[in-house]
Amino acid sequence: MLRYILRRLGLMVVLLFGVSVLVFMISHFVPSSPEAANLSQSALNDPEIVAAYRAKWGLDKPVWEQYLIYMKNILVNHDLGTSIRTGRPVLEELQQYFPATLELSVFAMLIAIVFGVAFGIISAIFQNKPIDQILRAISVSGVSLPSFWFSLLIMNLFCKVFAIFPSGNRYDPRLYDPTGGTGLYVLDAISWGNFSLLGDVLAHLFLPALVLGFFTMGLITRQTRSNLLEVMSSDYIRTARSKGMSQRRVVIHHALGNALVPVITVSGMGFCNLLGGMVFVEKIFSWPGIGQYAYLAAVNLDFPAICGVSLLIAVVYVVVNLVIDILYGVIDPRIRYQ
Amino acid sequence: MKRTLSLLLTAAMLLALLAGCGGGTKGNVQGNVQGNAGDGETAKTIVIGGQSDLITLDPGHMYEPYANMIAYAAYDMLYRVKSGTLGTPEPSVATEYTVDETGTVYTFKLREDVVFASGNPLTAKDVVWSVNRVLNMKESNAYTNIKIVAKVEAPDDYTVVFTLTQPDASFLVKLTSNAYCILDSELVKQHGGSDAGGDTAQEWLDTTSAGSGPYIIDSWTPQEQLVLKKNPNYWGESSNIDTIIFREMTSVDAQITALQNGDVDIILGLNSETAKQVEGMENVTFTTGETAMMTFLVMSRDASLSPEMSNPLVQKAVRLALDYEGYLTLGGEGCLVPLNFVQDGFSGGMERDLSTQGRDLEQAKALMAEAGYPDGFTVTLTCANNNSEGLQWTTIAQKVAQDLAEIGITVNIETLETTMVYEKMRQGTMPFYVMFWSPDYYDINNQIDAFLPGTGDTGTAYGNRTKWERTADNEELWTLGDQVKVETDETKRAELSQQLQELFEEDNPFAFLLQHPKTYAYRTDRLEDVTYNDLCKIELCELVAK
Repeated sequence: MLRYILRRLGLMVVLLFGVSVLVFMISHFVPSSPEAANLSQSALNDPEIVAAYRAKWGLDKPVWEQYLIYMKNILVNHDLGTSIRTGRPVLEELQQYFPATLELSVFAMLIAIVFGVAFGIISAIFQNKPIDQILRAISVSGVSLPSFWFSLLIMNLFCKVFAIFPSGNRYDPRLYDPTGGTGLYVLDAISWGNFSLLGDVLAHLFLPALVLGFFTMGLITRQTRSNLLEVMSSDYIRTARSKGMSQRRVVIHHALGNALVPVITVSGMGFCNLLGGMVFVEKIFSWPGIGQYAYLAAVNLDFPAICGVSLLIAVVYVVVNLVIDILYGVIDPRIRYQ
Repeated sequence: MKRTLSLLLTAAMLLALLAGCGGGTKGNVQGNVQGNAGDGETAKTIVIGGQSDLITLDPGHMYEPYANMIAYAAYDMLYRVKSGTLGTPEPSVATEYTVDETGTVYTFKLREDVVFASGNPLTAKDVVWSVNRVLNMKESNAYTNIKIVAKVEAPDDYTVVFTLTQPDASFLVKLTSNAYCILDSELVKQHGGSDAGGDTAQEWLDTTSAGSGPYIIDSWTPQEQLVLKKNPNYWGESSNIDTIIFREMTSVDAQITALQNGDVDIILGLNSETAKQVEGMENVTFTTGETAMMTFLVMSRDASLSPEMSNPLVQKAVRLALDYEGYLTLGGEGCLVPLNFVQDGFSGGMERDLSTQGRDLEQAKALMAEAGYPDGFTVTLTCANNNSEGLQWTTIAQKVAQDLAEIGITVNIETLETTMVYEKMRQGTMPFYVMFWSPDYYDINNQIDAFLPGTGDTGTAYGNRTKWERTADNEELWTLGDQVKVETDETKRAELSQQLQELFEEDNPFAFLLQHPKTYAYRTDRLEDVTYNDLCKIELCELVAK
């Protein structure tokens, strides 16, 4: 198992190198330039300012030399460079934005898994009954509704019409100042014992997490339902039933474990999908996370920031997939790692 | 055991979630993080919601639309923009000035009672140091406004002498911008500041402020929020608001909802359409303020891009074919149509008289025939995925296509990302495109240097972008322009400006469509009247809490 993990981590290094080359080259071949994206219209017409700007950010050097400098900074100084847009270290900015996204993703996954599995089980147990039809409709909505549209719908309903949730951001700045912790405000509030802040943070977290998790929830519901129905028709379930076990005991103790193995794959894919939907949800709920950072980096051709975000997301993908692979083995002892 | 723990944890989180939804964040929350202001008065906190796009708080690097809102709160300049005007300067730290007969040497006397938030006195050496600091940041957008300064000196503690590279009637206006913010030189030097190049203070200035303005920057989390606290050492009249929080809200829907629920007190992201959503809201009002932002069409004179569109007669026909009334409807209340490149509010700025200078399809068709295109032609109109004060450029482009179809021009709309359009604009490779313009400083001189003809290294921004050459035929534009640039008598300057605009109207490669208003809304139960000033948007020190 340890050798397997080490080999996967080794492959991750190769993958990250590939990602860095690809992203660096693609972003440099976009038909625009950082000075066009970041200088004012007047400054852009001033050759003195443009030359000083290109020299400051090393844009006057050939692309391959810029890449070598970038890689040298990463490998030797452990430095992801300085953002052309903001002038701040990219690593520092990722440390600022990533906790917000991580917190949102984890809660979105929590909602997706809890509700997805529960809905899947109920649907399977009450197959073709009205409750099954309703839950199937919800899961189909989950996988088919565009996240930006669903965000606006949810916001209008719960923030404007019923006014029971805040409409955006991570906390109420009039009441709290949770800065100075890890940036994971839920954990910070718990570690500070500030349950009032915890409530406020969770209230702000709930709607964006719900929107973000809705798609994955739909996938998990459908997967759980179909797996459970398949498992329920297996011989060993029939045997369990013939021994007089209750339906609840059969489902929870015998069928669910096997039905959930493919659900883990779907959850892993769902987690990665969350990152794709993050930009819209973060924008609509004014969530200061990595999605917005990535968007701003891309539209401003902020090369160091684009590469930094890409490497971070690649690491997340690889780690999530590795965790899922390891989980297979934990859940299903028949799977062996070589 | 694990299952029990998970259940307990889930239950705890659900309880906390319910507690959070139970009123703590809803309604008009009066409590705040500031506690009491002293003397038994409750500290007042105001929250502003908007999308600032702030990327730095260093006045030497700031350029973003909301930069001066923060610069005006935390710093002083020699001159500041008079409230409610579009760039009229009034003394701030300076009390008076004289200018020599060459028009290049300005001598300013400073107030002697100004202290920085740190307690250090503000003297002439701080002004000199701050200006020299930006003069050595040639890569900064702020450098555009300061490069007119050849040298700056401090003959004594309260006198500053600027020597300009050439006479400039807009110098006082330039002094009102963030490029001329006065920094506490002793303090900034301790954090990497330098007036001789190699300045590294930006990182520190992004976390705090080193000025003498009415507020101090308390904290800033980019894309999240900025907190300003009242400066106890402020030399001017103090506001009754102790804390101002600028909350980044990227979605207009979220801003409107937060305003309705009392989570924020002012929102800045409205346009004429979204303003309808706040109409009728209890304790909320919306209003508009004049801005200097213009949207216009650019038609290149480069015949290799489009021989038809580059024809001056066709360009004139386009101006005559546009339905200006329709654009006013699209822009909403507060919009106007400028005659051409000088905004209303600037020296001699003229509006287009739609009864005599509006749409004239017959004349437009006659011009098309005279140009040799009686049956029209096809052209691509490039349009960035952008907006002007909330009005999408694609909407404008569709209206342009509709208007020009009536004189036989078939317009194919090409939509690109904004940075790509900027790059193509800079290279001058688009025959026809939609663009906007917001001045670097609020004076006609900025407009002259951007829109008059001229190519090459000494050319104007749009001279280069449209390949509009400076020739003997249009030299009169520059004769007038040069006079406007140095004329200090405002009445004479306005007259010259109007002559210039009328002459410009006869032949130019643009069609100016709209000068936009800024639409914003605020809670009337929390604030007295909120006024708008385009340079610093909301002047924070003038806010009065109820």
